[in-house]
Amino acid sequence: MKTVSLGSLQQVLLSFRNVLQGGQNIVTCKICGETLKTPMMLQKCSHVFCSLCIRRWFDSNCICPECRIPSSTGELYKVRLVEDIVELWNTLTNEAQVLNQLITENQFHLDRFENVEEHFSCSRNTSLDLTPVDTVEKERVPPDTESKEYQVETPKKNQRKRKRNPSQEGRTSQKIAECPICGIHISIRLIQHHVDICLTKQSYSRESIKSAELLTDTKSSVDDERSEASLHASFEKRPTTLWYKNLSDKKLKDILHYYGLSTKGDRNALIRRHKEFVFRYNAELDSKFPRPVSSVIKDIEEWEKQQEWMNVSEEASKLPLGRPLPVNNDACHIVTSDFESLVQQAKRTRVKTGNNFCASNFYEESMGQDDISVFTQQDSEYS
Amino acid sequence: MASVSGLPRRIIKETEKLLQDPVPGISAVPHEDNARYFNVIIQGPDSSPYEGGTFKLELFLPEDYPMAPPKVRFLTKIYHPNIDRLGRICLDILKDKWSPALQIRTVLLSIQALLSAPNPDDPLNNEAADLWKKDEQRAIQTAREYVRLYASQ
Repeated sequence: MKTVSLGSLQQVLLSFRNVLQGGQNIVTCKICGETLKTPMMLQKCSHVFCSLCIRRWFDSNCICPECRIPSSTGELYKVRLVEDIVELWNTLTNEAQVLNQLITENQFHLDRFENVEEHFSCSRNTSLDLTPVDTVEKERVPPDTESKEYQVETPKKNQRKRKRNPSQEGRTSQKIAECPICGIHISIRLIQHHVDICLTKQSYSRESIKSAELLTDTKSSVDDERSEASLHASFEKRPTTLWYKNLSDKKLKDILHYYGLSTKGDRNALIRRHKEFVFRYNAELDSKFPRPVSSVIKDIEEWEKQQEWMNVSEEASKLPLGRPLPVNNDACHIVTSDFESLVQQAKRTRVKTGNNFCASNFYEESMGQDDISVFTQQDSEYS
Repeated sequence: MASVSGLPRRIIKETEKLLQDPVPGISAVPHEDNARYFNVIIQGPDSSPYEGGTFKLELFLPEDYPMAPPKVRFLTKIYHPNIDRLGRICLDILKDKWSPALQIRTVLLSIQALLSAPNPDDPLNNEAADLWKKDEQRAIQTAREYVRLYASQ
């Protein structure tokens, strides 16, 4: 019988890990830096981004973030294959996490193999630091160890011990269960960990997870169309951002009311809320399992609360407000003297022209603070 | 560190990457009170008038980053046609050519490249740009003098 050295197996695992790390870059959105969520492709250049990310970006500039080719929301389209690949990727990394957790908890009793071969403990150690390797190990190690190496190289005692390995136990006694969320087959001992991760990672909400039966069906396109149709049915057509300049406050509030959104806050808050709703709602429509409008509205309320909280905490810690700067004092001094000369200059012009008193007065005050207040000035001054 | 909990994952990831795997000649460290504010140090590029200089900059990630570009400013005085007396930088990717696919890392690399290749045709410091066009040798000499006076450690 042919033996496979665990050293060479380790080589394979390492190269596989590199491949997987490269894969993570491919499925990462270049805007938010996370694994693509509801990937959308641009028609002209085929670059892919999260639906929500690219919709937000198109609000400020209609070019592809990667290649700058002019583009717009109208040129976004779904590619099922990309969506499925990302889904598959998520399953794969989830599995890697399950395995990683199990290994770190020593549920595999790997230490019992110590007397078998040093190579093994070596490959086990490398597998602990990065999850992609674990995925590989899970897929590859059990068949190899079972069929080849251990049968040839290890004494019978160790073989018996190895039977305690839970993944093999499951295999021999057929204790395999199906994950109610992603549908993959997995050993009963692992299923709880797996489901936990699956539940937290799922892109669709728990609301849609009502029964295991429904979940196993979610992959059918019929169900897909039905749920999309139910969301579509909420409003006649997809909402778009508007020419807010031409809208009165009342009209804007009417629109928000129509979508079931809050009408509180000043004009800017209303506009921001409407925009955010348009982005999120459309992204929801793009997704495989769109949630009801009420969930989108709830998300927006959460988001607004978070924004509010951030503004408060940011204002408190904002550097321009008289906080000493950890910078080179010389540099500070030079810039400050520059400011002073500018202030003098501004004063002179004010005396000369006599107008714009309030504006320059304000200017002077802001100068008196910290020199970093240059950030608060408009960038339009220089091009 | 109150501001960290509300920080987008992208900023956290970028910061980690910058600290773990820094760009040669560039260091960017977040301020301990505000994770959106970075203290940056850029080494003057070799075979440029700024060679041997150590330039301090500040970088701020606005609330809507990465939809809006970071705000960057030189704190060290520098003689350069595209950088004014207040340290403000004239660089297209910091304005209308910004793209959310760019990162802190790429922005700082672009600034380093701007030091190697001053562009007097798109000036922010007119005085320096004029001299650069009329008498490049003298302009370079002035830039070196500034490095010696303000950017040497």
